[in-house]
Amino acid sequence: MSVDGDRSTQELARYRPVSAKTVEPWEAIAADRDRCPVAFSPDIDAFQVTSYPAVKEALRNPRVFSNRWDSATPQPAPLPLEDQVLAYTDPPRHTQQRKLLTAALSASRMEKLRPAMQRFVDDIIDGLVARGGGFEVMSTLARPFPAHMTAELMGVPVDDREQFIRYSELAELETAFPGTYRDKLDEWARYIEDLVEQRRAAGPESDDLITTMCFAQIDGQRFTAHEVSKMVMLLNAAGNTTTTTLIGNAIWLLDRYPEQKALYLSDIEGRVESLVEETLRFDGPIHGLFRRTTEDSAVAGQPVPAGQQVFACYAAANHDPAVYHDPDRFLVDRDWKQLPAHLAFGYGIHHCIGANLARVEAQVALATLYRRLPGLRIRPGFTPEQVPGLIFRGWMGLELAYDAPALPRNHT
Amino acid sequence: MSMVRETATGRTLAIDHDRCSGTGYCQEHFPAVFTLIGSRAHIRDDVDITMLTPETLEEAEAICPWFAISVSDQPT
Repeated sequence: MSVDGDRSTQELARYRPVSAKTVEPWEAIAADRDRCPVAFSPDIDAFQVTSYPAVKEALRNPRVFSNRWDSATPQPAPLPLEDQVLAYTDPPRHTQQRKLLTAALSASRMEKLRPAMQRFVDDIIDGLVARGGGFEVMSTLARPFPAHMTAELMGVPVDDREQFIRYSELAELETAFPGTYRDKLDEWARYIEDLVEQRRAAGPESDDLITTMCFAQIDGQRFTAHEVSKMVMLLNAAGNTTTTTLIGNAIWLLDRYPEQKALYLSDIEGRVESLVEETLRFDGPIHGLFRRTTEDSAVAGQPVPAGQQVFACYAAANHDPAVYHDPDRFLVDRDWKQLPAHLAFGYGIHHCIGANLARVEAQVALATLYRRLPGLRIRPGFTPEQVPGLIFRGWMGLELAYDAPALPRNHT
Repeated sequence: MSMVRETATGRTLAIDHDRCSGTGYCQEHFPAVFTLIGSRAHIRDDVDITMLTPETLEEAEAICPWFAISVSDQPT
């Protein structure tokens, strides 16, 4: 490491999360964290941050570590102001937008959705059981379930939901293959902007998220239809794929660690919360996100010049042995009431606004699947494929098998 | 559910449990003032609210990403 920030004399990161993406990168991450927890990574053209305290240090300072260059797909210049929404902007704009949405997505509000989620998941499982045999869980449950819940929270008309969800899936593909689905996404933006006009004409009659955004005022000004469409698209992108991959990652990890699966199955209701937290810690949906330095700065004592991309690697922070014992072991009975919070939802002012929603969704899906389908497992011989790209960690598909008969839904 | 405590200057410090989502940031930054109980933040019983500076109160209000902490001059 040099003090002047000259890259030629700096320790470079050796972990290659894109060009050499692996299923279990924990050793490579640990090696980088041990050598230098803040190091420039040629693989991602950013300063890679891999220790728990260093990730928090960067994320707690949004003035210097900015989101205005886009935190998921970093851009060469700050986004145009009209595209700066939520995770793509900084205070005070960020604070004003976020304030409008947090009440609608709080822990207590999301807890109230649990019975509706339970019905939705039970209906899907009833359908799978009626069809008989094994099934692919991502396309049948892990993807449609959060997507429908989000569309419902948004207040998307029932008849439009399938199409709305298809757009949302294209937006996800767009992050892996930039430019490919531009026309379709423009079409989606126009659909949302039309919806905004309709809602405004109809008046503030419901408390769904789109209506809330339509009628919210900041300093006497309303959001433009364009801003609402950007927020809706971001909330969808951030809210659907993440929970989808979280459910899949838990299923894969349980099969990878059979003794942990046995422990979980011995008390599903008692351990489903810690299963979800441990999956988030061990291999959460978001590997990390970007910031851009607005001035010369430092993280953990390592100089980071102005204008640099910084990759806060949540997974690396979550495997920091200074914070979690046996960090590279997947343990479903960690005591999350006592442990420091994992950083899978980020840290600071951008703490994932869908965290409460994601938690309840994942708990309902994972408890119900394993409660109703005896011997649920990845189909022997099936080799899952990891999604491409830096940001997401998850499986393209997971073929599952179980031992019929399935158990009936709990009538409550 | 909401919990409120008043300061000597008439300002109030409140935690809205309908918004609190248990990030624990308040406890992390002001362990003498806040504590997490059952994944919701509470004002500690043993804290003397009247001793908190306006700066501390404002910082505590700003630190919550769920906007569950509020400081106001209005008596509740």
